[in-house]
Amino acid sequence: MQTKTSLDTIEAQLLDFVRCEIYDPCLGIEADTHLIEAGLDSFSLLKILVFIEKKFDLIIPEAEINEDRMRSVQHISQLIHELLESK
Amino acid sequence: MNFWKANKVPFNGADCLMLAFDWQMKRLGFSGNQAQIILGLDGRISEPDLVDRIHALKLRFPILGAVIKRGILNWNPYWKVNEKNGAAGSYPLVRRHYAENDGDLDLIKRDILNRRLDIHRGELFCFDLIYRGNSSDMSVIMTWSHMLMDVHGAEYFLAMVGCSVPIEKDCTQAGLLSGNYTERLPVGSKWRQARKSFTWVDELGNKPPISLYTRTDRPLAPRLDYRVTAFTRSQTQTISDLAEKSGGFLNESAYYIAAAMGEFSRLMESKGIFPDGYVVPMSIDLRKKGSRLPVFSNQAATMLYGFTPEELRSFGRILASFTRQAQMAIREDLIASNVSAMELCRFVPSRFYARKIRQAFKGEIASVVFANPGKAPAYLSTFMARPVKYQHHVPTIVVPPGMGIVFYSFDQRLHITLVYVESMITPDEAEGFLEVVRRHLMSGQLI
Repeated sequence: MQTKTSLDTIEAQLLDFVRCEIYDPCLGIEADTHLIEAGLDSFSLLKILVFIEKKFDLIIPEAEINEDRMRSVQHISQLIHELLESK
Repeated sequence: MNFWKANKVPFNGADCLMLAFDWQMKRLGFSGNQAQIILGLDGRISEPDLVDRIHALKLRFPILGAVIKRGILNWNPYWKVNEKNGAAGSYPLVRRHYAENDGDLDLIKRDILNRRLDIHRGELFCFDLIYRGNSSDMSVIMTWSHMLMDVHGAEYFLAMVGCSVPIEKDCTQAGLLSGNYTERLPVGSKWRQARKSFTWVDELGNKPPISLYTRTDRPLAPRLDYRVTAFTRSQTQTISDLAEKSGGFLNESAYYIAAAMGEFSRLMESKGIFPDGYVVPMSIDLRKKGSRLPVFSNQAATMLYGFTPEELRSFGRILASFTRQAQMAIREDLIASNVSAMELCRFVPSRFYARKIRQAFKGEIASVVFANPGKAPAYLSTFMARPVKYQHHVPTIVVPPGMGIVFYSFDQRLHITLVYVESMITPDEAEGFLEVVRRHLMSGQLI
């Protein structure tokens, strides 16, 4: 039986990735930091999407890739959680 | 083990690539691989204050007066820094010009763009100040050697010169360098990674692009010219909305590429040139987001996008092709592969690397060069306490292709600079090209 990943786990893993791979450590990115205002660009977004695909075996639908959904690690984690639950 | 002495600063792979392009351009008689940032100031600055500021920075960061040397055994290029003579020597130059009218101003700016920096004597950057008639305004042009800094580093450095960003007490030269490069040839996985990059280049080479430069049937003077166009804030917002609507969230680059390449293919066809493929090299800033450090090194990878002539017939097709290739680049880790390939090129003399790239494209480097410094932060809203009215980026475009386009934003306004080999296209053609790109961007389709 497949175990569902908890929202907290998703958030922790995503936050770790974003802090290490995308942003300057000095920025101190938190789960509720506005990612776009902190300098997110198209390639960084693609990196995040590929990370999600590899880590959670999940392709985010194009309709969900917008400013509201991609605003912060919290928002993206929530989206991942919803999509995993509905799988 | 650290092989590097304090006065020896190694080039990284991207610096080496810039050196290869510098060699390539000088071989063809051009000034070299240099770039410019032009600031239009509201008011005049004090020249002695500017000179003092530059010399203080040169003392603090002696790499600003370094010369390029190569290792005796491995031929690796490096900066030789003379710590003791940091602020000594005649460089950098701060020159003064007067323009009577717009025509004068254009001529002066073009001459400055085509002036060669004497990098062998440590001239890695210079300043030109242009005064105009009785006006209280002035322009400040910083020209720099691309081996030392990329556009993001240069922007930050210029902000340091203009006191627009604070320089912390503990801000040392080492902190602004990329560091940690060894003199050893990369092995194992780096080779395999680099091979992916070369395979992609070869794949693009199967449908070779052709440049206007090599197909022009008359000798061209080794000089560059440029044109700049700017949008209002509301136009910029319209373009941004259209870009998101048709290209997807945060995918503005694709939209810009669609407008520029759609028009570029038409220009080529109007001149009777029909390549099998078009290649667009686009630089990608490798710095972590939210940081402009390190300053004194190139921190960019190059992603090559290939388009067939059919794909360049509509916005939709260009956007779809771009998005597919960008996703493939991330999945295949092509950006890391490009970095590995550049690391390998540190161990190859510049001319061999430049030749390899040219051979891969069967004689061409690419059809057009594309750069997007992105949404520039407001570092340069003032320069030496004077408000900055405009900021223009003028890169030196590698020849061939001898034509490049840069999109950037300043004061929430989109700007485009088109740089080209003088007389390869006429000034009217350049104006017309930018005008049509404007219309494409404003309408979201190729019209």
